[in-house]
Amino acid sequence: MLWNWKKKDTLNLMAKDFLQKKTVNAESLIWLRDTSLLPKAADWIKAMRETGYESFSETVMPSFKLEDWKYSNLRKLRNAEFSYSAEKTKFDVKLLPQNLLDNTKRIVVIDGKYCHDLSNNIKEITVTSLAEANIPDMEQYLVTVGDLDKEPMKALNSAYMQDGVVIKIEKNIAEPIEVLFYNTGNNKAIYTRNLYWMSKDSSATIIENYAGKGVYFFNSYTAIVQHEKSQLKLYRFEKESPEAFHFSSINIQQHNSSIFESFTYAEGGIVARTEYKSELVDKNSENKIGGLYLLNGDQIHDFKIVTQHLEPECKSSQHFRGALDGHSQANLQGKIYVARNAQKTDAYQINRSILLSKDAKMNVKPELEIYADDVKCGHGASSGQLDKNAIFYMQSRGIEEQDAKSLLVQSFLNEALEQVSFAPVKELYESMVVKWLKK
Amino acid sequence: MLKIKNLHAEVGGKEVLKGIDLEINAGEVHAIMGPNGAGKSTLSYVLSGREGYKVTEGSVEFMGKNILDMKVDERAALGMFLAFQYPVEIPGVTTVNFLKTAINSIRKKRGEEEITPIEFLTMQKEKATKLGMDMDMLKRGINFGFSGGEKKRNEIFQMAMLAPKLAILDETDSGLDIDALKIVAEGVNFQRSPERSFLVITHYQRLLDYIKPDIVHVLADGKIRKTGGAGLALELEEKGYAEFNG
Repeated sequence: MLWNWKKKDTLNLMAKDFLQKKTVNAESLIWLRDTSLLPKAADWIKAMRETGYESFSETVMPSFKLEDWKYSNLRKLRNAEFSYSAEKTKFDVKLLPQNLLDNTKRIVVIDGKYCHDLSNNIKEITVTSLAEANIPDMEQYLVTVGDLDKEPMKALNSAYMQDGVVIKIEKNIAEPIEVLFYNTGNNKAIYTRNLYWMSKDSSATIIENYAGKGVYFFNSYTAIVQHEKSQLKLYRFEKESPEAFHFSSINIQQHNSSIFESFTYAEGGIVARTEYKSELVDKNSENKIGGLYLLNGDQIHDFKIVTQHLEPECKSSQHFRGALDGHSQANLQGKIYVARNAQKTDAYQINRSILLSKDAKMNVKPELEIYADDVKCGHGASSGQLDKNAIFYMQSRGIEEQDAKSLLVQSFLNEALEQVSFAPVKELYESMVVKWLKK
Repeated sequence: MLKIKNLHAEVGGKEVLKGIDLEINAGEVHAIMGPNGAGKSTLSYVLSGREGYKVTEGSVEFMGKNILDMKVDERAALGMFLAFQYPVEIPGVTTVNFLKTAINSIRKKRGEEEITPIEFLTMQKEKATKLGMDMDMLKRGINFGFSGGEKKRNEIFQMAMLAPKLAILDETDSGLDIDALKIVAEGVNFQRSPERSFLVITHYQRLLDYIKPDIVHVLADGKIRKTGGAGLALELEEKGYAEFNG
């Protein structure tokens, strides 16, 4: 029996069935209902798993028929096979990447599971594993937000999430908190669910580092709740293994006068998708989301950014830039939604990309949905090649053609980094851009 | 320093230069004047090696080397400098960073050591002061948001920093009012030296009031039609290019 998980550590599991559009059978439902995977899981988690499971078994694989997946190309994912394991991975910790910055707290999540013994310097904050957390007040935030019938990756995460990390921040935390999501490969399917909880008046800087080895399928759902006047800077480094599949979804709820600043640097994985969904549920908040994507070879990266202004006087921005080389493809769908009573909203989105090869491709779909009448909303998108005049100009001063191109791309990308307010991270991003350009 | 022999070149399949002969010795200032469409800018691009400008016949020797097979940046490293008619705006790359990269790139090709930050700063300050350049402008994106005069001054500043053997000024006077013109001309004049030559390309004589040429050539329909002293420019100012047209 395929689903005899008790006898095997790993199962050739449903990702494959799911990806091949097979309807999943009753046996697997039994397996799903077995809570041994999350022995201490609360009832609501069990319920959510089933909802997720039912949704994706009806939805099948994300395809261009779904508006949100219109430009995605998941062919490579369809042909891949993954296994699923409830066991913690045996892993030589010496292989873990170093901290990105000095003087940070460190939280380690390996193959989607929180590793308390590898984490350090976390006394000031409350960090628990999702599987072991007893968190009745957090339950409502951990339940998947979104229409699961249209968001198959979220449905999949709801059904299969094994563990993740819950971080509760209750005051000002000066030292950045690095969360390392390390994936060990071996064709594993990894589902992780996290919650970052910001109490009233708290502040923190969280740096997420996504890395790994070989082939794996990483699917994460992160819920962020920001209470009144809290401030969170969330800087992400998506540097998955070149053969990895990465699907991450960040779901933010912001209360009165809170500030969320986030930036995603994406250069890893073969097929990847980053989603941000922000809900500004009370007045006077600020939501700034930015990103850089640097792709080459056959890489594909999707971005789906939805910012919902539900109450007045909030500000938001989405600012992305990227450089595409080889046969790579980037797809960006950005949406700003302004509810009827969200007056005095100030929002904009912008995407600019440079195509470094004639085979690279960029799809952009900006969307504004505005029901209030006193708002300031703007959007812009551009995609082009390097300016030949500028290259000639630089060459005429003695700079070699390749260096001139690199300098132009670098300066183009650096403009997006202006929105990163934490200098050490900004510098790190800058140095990564330089490294990428030298490849 | 520069020897051009029977130079023919085409752009987009059309012959624009139809046999140019020109020799510039060290320390000389040559002016090339001519009507629109004579091939003046084409000559400057062919000399600097711009893509799309194809030499079909003839030779160009610079500093004793045949430069026609050299890349743009290699010619620059040999000591050629082109001041653009329309300097390019490059937001995001500061003039300082750009010049540092350029200087080191040239030094590398010449097998020299990289410039030290102190050396660079000292030189930058000296040249900027001489040209009345605002140091803050150098920290901005190259020519980004600059006025016409500021852009041209930045060209002259870059020339001063790179200290070329031959500077080609392509219609540097275009789009400048008289005050800006004077500033640019002064910037050029203080860089004149027995080791440095200039090729000043212009449509109008007025620039030559301020940058006194040793020799003036008239370029029309792809060929040099007349060569003379500084007086030739004044003559042209009076009579126009009528006798060279058609």
